Amino acid sequence: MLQLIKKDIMIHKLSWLLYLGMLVFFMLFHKDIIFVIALMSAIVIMNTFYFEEDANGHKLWNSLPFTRNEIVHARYISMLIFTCIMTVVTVLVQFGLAGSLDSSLWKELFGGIFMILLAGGICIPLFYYFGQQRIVLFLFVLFMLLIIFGVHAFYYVYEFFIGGFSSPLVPADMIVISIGTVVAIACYLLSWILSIRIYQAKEII
Amino acid sequence: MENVIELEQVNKSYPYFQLKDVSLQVKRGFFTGFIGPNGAGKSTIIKLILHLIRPDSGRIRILGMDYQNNEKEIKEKIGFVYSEELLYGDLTLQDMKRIISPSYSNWDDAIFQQYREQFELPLRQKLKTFSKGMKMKVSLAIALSHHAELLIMDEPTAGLDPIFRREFMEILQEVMLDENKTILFSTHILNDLTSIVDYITLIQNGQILFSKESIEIEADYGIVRGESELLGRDTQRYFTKVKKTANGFEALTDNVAEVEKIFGHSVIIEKASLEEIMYYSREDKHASAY
Repeated sequence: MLQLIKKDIMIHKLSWLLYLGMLVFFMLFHKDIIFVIALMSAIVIMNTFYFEEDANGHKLWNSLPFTRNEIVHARYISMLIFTCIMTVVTVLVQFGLAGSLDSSLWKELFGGIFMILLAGGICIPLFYYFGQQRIVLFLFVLFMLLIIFGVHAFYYVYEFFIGGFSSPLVPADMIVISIGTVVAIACYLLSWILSIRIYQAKEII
Repeated sequence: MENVIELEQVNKSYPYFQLKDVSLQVKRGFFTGFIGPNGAGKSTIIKLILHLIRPDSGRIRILGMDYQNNEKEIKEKIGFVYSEELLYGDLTLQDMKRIISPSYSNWDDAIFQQYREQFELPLRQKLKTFSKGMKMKVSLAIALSHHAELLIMDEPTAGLDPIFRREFMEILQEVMLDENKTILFSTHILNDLTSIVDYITLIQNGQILFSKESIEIEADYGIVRGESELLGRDTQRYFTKVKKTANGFEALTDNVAEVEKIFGHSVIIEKASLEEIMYYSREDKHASAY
């Protein structure tokens, strides 16, 4: 399975430089860390699926000595690795540009990871279900829209809930972030299980 | 003789096509040609054998094992070549080898290098710049580099020029010198098979029509030509399919010896090529049964 994860990273090859360039560009002109982490992670994930579809990877990797469970597990772990890479690089770029790191940065990092777990969790089972069909391009657009609108919705929901929770012991933002973490992890795990079920039943054509 | 592939009463239905009670045995150490027209079900059976699709019913055993319990062990011992390219276009052959080779515990780098040199494949050129023939050689080199016992090839020569097809078949002939290797080769280009094939399996409309030794087919099958008066209810059973012509009839028989005994010199009997057997075996309105 480790080989499948390595493959997911290797197939991007020089695209990694392009992703870095895009990330720096967004940081210079947008500076919304939640958006940058979610968008860049989504781009890498979509490209992974694109390269796979282009090379008829479903047929290739299912003919090699791997089980379908391993193929799905590897993809979900790769997604987490991509998100980690993008988060670390964003922090480094932010540090490079600003010369220091804001103490509230961790909340934005959380927001970015929350968004990608949620949007990825929704879209990846769809990629597995509709893979090998032309609808995949539509799914890429859906993924992008989820990220773009999701980031705005995240700010709105965050502000909405932050006013709703108050406790003398725990700060309101900690409660919201804790709930968000549970929701994001639950969504990702459910998506993982669903993708395994879908892929087990899939006919590789 | 040990079977490396065993299909028992396998059924698989799609809205417009179905495999019906397919039973098939492929023997170890031999080259089996899997023939049939486009859409007959060859690729569906190969996908079942490779566990890319699941049967609705029936049993599939590969190398004495089943996919439920030994999926990875089976796949370790199979080399595959498909008609379509399964390569990442932006990667080089070196990259491709790097991502595929660790998948097999028996990967042999020396053999891969040997085939790479024999096939004159550049290591550091992007795969999308390779010709179709070169891409097929890449797939073949990968299939041959991990000591696979069973090689499964789904129309690998489709769309290739005759020179490359011949080269490809010569390589497979060399592979077959190892008596532990088995090849299942699906094709509708029947000329590719003539010099190498040990067994032939013919599939038609989702059903196996026959699975026989090639020398047996050569001895048993013939094209019979004669005058229409010779045909009657009692003689009909000697022919698989009869076609009426302006001068009489033309028919395929799978029992040349019997036809010779019954009709003697009143008919002309010629050896049937695989193409003729496939043509006469098809079930359509053009070749009308008597």
